[in-house]
Amino acid sequence: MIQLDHLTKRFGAKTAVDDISVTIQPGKVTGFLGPNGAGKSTTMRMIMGLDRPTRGRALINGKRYAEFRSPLTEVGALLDAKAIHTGRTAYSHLLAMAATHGIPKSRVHEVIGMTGLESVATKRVGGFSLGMGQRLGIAAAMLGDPATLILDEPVNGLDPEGVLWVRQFARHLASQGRTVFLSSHLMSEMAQTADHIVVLGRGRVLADAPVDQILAGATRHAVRVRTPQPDDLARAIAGADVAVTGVEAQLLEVTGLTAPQIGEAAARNGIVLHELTPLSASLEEAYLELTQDDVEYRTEVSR
Amino acid sequence: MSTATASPQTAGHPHSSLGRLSFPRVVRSEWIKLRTLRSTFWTLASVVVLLVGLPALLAAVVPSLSAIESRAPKSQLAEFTTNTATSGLTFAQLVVAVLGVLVISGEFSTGMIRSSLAAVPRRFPVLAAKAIVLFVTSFVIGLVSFAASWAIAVPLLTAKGYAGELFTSSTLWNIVGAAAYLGLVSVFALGVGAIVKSTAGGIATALGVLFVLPIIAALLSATLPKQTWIADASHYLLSAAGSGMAGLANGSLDPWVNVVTVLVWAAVAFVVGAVLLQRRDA
Repeated sequence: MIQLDHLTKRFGAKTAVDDISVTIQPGKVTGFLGPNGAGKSTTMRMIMGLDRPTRGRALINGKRYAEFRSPLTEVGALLDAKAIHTGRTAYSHLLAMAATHGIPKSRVHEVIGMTGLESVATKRVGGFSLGMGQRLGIAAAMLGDPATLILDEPVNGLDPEGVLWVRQFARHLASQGRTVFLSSHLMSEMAQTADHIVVLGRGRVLADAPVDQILAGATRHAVRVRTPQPDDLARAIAGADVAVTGVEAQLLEVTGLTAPQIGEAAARNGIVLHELTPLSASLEEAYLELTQDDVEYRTEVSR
Repeated sequence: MSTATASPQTAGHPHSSLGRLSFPRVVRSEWIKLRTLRSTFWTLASVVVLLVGLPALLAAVVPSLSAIESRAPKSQLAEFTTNTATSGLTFAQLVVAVLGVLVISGEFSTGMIRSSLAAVPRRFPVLAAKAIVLFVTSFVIGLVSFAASWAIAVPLLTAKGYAGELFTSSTLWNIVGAAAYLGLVSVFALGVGAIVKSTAGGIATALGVLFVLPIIAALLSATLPKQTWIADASHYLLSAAGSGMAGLANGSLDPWVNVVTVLVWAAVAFVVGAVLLQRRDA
């Protein structure tokens, strides 16, 4: 279990993480979602004791990370794929990390096998692709067989097969009762991996709920209607809670009514419908809706 | 690849027989880190070449003394031998300093420091282990190389009329002193690297202290001959005190003052580096 308690980090005048209080439960995959620059990596670095919180604290199973006598067997972290010396081979890197805790060589070979790095283990990390770097980072995180895993953008740079592997891996670890906390800026990825999602925007928690609840909470109940008689239809369904927007000449978007209600109203008034489509927000849209005011770097076009 | 389908294998429960973090283990880890980088091999190889090759070359090419010349005071003839046998030190100390900086700046520039500090979150043991590994490595390489350089230079030079003995306590102390100085230079450079964090900045700073400060001091005392304190103070520069430790004549301090001076340089850089490593975000 990871507890963030009023966790805050300021870099000069800029507040990267703003008073976050969240509990990440074991036995689940918790997704940490937010646009680039939202403060996800900073939060994870604070959990790992790499960045010092300006205020608040981060506890893992009730302790600060630095208090553990055997940190690697408590928490495994993939902080970013570049946190590895490029001049060393993958095997030497893992061996040096394992040596700090007296973890045997056999375990080093085990994590190399687990992450599919056998063929490149004796190659220097400088020549690795982003995907191989990610696998090596995950191998290092697994060295101590930890009860808590913190993975910052683990699918970044992976091919589709690698993405699938990380997804299954994360789910498997959570099913063993471990705490799995992984970040991503891709909602679609989280939808398929996480049980619970914490959405971060500009350093603040925008949502902290199970995946389906986040989806339901942000769903727009809009219906797309194509008709050659848009004005007649608009009159027929007019009401206090009903909003009708013209998209094209013969295309309307209606909110406040369900598709059956609109269809029946059209039938009663003898209006021809060419299309009647309920629009439900995808998780991606739900995410955009949550974060639309909290994107730090936004292009003018996407406004 | 089969990895997409292979189910992740993990030992039954999270706290199996895996070991605990301890300082000797961190030292072992740092030793693995040092020996698994190519830069270590190349820097140490060039240290050996400089420390052994330069004296051997000089001793081989120096002309024999005439009968009159070899009647010069014995101390002068022995001094020439010491200077020749230790001639590689001036350059080797720069290479060792580069190695010392790289050991920590390489971790900052690649991000490796975050992996290191995640494994050892109390941080200080990482820098302390690096210092121990660096000191021992540089000291041993220095000891072997200086022993070789003296073993080559003494017979060559005495055959040409110079003085010098291999198995005297003063020669022995010169060898140990020079090797210990190299070890302490590596620790000094490690501290500088931890303070500056960047490879370029760290090397520039360390070489500035070792190489440029003595030149500035010499220029100043030459242009301001009445300010004798400049010349006096320059004896306490790192490289001047180091020359004294190696038995070279240009240091005029008491032998133990040389040792303490070099220790203070190394300790100050190391302690400041350690405090900053502890305080800063990684």
